[in-house]
Amino acid sequence: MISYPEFKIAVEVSRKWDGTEIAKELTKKIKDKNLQPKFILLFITIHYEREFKKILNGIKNEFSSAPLVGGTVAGFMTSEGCYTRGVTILTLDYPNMEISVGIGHNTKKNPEESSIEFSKMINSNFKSSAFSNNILFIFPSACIVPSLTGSGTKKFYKSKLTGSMVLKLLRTSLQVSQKGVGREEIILKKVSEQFPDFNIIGGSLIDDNKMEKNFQFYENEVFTNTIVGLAIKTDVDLSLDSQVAVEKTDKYFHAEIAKERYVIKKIDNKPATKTFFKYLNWPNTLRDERVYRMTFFYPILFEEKGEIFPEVIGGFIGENIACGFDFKSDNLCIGRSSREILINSIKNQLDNITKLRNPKFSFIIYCSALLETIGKDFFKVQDLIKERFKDTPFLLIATGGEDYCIPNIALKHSNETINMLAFY
Amino acid sequence: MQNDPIANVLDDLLMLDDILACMVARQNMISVMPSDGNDSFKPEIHQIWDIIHKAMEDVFTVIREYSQAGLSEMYFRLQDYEALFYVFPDTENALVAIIPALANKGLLEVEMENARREILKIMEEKPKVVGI
Repeated sequence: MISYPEFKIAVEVSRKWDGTEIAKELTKKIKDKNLQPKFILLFITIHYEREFKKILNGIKNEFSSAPLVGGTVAGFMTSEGCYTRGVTILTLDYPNMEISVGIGHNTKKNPEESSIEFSKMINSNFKSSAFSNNILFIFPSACIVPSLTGSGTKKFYKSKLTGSMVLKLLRTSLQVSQKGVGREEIILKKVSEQFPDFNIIGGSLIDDNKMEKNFQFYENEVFTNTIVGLAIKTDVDLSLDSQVAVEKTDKYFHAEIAKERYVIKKIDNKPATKTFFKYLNWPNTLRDERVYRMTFFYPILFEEKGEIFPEVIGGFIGENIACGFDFKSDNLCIGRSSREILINSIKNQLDNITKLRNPKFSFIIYCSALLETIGKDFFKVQDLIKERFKDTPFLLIATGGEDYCIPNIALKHSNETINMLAFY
Repeated sequence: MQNDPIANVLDDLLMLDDILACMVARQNMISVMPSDGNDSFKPEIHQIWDIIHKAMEDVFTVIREYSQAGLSEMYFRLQDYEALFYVFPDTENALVAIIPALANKGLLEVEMENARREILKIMEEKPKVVGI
């Protein structure tokens, strides 16, 4: 029987407010576990924007040799608790593991070039490896809703005139101010081409679901509009599972898609916004910002190779509907999410991941729209995971879009999904 | 109130932009306020506080009636604001927060639940803190 070295892991949380104190608390917790970090993944909610540098410097001062990547998330969960405000750190200590980190700039302006920059950096750090189990974590910047007025973001524009101005703004803002869709589907495709023998798990870094700003961390620096990531080659067995927490409804339609393929102009040859409301029997009184309490439950989805790709609605712009990434089909469907659907998806995922044995550790990327949808029932999700995993540590982060790739089998950027990576 | 651990939990909640005001209360009585009292409430809440406070009293009638039966949360929306009531089990007390009606309530609910759990823990250690 092959004997493996000890696999040590730390998933720690801080709820303090001061950056220096947070770094002290987290590094102490890691040291108390007698662990020499091989890498650090750090996720922080947007409330700590002014503390990022202090947190990063404090951690890097203690663990200078461990590469660090991370960024802002809408929330997270560990076996310790569920949080939408706080800081969490993940680190592993295991000798049979090679690590490389990378960053690519200007993801919204030049997603392809950014992906190449990122991939080259990761590849340049890898030499020929004795290990054949490969996983790549990617964390691109999520969508940032451009503001027409310069202050605050609005997602429901009733007026056709304003709507057409906003559409024009969307067209130019990606190039001019790097605001708009995250273009993660382009990034995932390009990166996956550069890493044909890597499984990929990813999540788009986001704020508290307001989609006004987001940040990426690379070593002790803070960036915007970048992709950061970490690649691991190891002898640890890995398993990756993806579940969609959305069901199809019977509301199929043909869409007229704009040049920007994330914008729906018409549904069944009629103005998109009006028709969407009609198909869901929503009253006109809902035609304001409040509708976003509802749209998380009703994403628009397309199908490709038997897989469904839900897209959360990002904005009603006059009679156009804007989503977060390109529709790959003109034949769409309104989806439906609910607490029950989500719980069933989690159960299926846990069945798949624990089929043969319990993992040593699990990393979960969970859509922040689902978190908004279920609210405090997030704790029920935690109960389910803990019940199944027993003492297995895990970290779940809530992101603004999820990436998943198994070479030659699956390649998916989507919303309202749960991707789970297990280390055995 | 300054060293009251429950006030500290409320202080943490108030640090979130979308928590405009919060307190532990029951009918006719605000039991615990944040450390700086209502001075730490976000300014916009003051103009609507009287009517919200009046509506809250009516909600506490329901909480008093049904808390023992397992009522755990209540919500109401008034103008552009929403009030969240997280009831402490088997008591007439609730953690109350006022948020903008358009806030991302799901995310706030997670921190409301954390605050309720922390306060419950404190109450179990020092039951006299909120006078139950």
